[in-house]
Amino acid sequence: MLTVKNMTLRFGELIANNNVNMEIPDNKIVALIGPNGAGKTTCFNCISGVYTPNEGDIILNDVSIIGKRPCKIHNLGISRTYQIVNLFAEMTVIENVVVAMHDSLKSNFFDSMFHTKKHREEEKAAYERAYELLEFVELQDKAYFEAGSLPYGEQRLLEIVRALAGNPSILLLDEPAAGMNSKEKGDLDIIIKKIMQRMNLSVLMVEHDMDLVMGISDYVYVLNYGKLLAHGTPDEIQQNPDVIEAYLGGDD
Amino acid sequence: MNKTASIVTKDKLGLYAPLAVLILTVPLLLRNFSYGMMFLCFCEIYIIAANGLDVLYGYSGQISFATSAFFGIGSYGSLLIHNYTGLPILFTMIMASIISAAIAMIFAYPVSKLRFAFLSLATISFNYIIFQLVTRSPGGITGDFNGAFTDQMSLFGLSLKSYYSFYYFGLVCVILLVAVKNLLVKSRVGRAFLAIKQNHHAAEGMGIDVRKYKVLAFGIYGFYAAFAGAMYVHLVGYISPETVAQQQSVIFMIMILFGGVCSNWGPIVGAVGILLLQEVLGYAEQYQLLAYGILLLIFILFLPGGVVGAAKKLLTRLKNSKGGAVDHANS
Repeated sequence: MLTVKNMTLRFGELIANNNVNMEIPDNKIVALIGPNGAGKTTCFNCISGVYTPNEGDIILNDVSIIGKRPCKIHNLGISRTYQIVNLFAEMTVIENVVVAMHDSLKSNFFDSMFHTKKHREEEKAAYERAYELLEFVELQDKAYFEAGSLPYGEQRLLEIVRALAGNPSILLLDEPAAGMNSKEKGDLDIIIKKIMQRMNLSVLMVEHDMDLVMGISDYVYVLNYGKLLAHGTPDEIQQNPDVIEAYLGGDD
Repeated sequence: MNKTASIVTKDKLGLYAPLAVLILTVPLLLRNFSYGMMFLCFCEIYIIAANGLDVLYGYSGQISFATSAFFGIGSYGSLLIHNYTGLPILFTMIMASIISAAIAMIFAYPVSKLRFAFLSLATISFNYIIFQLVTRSPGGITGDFNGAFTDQMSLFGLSLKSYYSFYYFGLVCVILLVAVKNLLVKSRVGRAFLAIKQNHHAAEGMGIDVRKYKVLAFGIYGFYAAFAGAMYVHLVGYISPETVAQQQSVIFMIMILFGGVCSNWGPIVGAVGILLLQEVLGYAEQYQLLAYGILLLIFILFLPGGVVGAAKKLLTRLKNSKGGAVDHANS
């Protein structure tokens, strides 16, 4: 379980996140929505360690992770995807996944240097596991393609698989459906649910596609101008007058 | 699957076996040409240093214009330890290399935050610091501008003074160090280096301690460069501070850009190629820098993969066109 307590982040005069409180229970899909510039990605960057909040606390399973570096937070079990595709473009698809297993591989420098039996066995197991993970999103046939050569939608799926490689307990998805066509979006719905059930983790998702958000989320938080505007089940959010005015309103 | 694998190895054996025979018998062919043997010994030394730089620049993506500084730490380090303690040379060479690796890591710890242009500047400054230390050393222990003398290579009481015997010693060192590099870059360590080079934000986000691995890459680089330097000083028996000059560091960079990064053959082709060029241009010294400048521009602009990268591309293109033709015939 991940708890965000009174988190505030300032960039000079600008308050990007103002006293945000969130709770992501085990095995749930939680969505974070809000208009552009509401501070959603900033919130992700605080949780994943890219920024350190000025105030407040972030607690993962009773351990405060505030001030820890991104690599440590990843290894404690919070893994993420990026809003803009952020792969190792010149590595193969499967290498991208194996890179993210770095911390779970226990070979030391000398095992690596001399390719000891331990190293060889561990590498083999890692590649097998990576292959299984790729089967999740049906990318196994492209395992040895260069990651940068995949179509955009598949690169986004690869990012999700790469984030799963570290065996996270919390998966942060930053606009997973952005740039996907409607068929890919439909598949994404099923993939996220399948991941959550099979991998035994919780998902925190920033997303603009309301069909996807309302369709799969168990709980929704709404950010506006860095502040929490509302939170509740998808039905409650859809009927919340504040949310309709600030976010869904206007054009509709 | 098995069949293709065995064909590939046979192919490679056909290529490597004559090469191995040539490398082992070259001293016989050159038995009356000791200058040529000296040249080959220098090739071995520079191949080792270029491989160290390849780990740092080719794999972990960190540029360095301080290779000659670490080369010098190896030379002067082994020289001083040997001259003052009289310990066996191979032992002092390894000691100096370990000291150099430690210095490289201490240097890298704060510097690992810098990238590209600022990292270049930091390494250039480091090179100047080492040059100053060598030429104005406390108590003049390095011989300052005059340089310093030491014993030539010997192993277990056996003198390897002649270029012919040194050549085989160097060959063993090259094979060992290139093999270790090759294994290392194909492990989880090498994967971490490549990940950092390609996208250091994502690497950190995926659980790789970017700073730790950047420092580690500097350590490996420091070891290789210093080992080459130590070989150099015990081959020649003398070191002059010019070896540590900043300009020499640029030449190492040109070597791996010329040969091509991230490969086994790149640093070898680069080191031998540039040394050959130095021999050719030896008679026209004033044009050497001009030639390097033009060469560097050509390789940065038109052949970013170096000679080996370009050759690999050409080979895959040939293979693909061949394969395509066969498919066409079958259908």
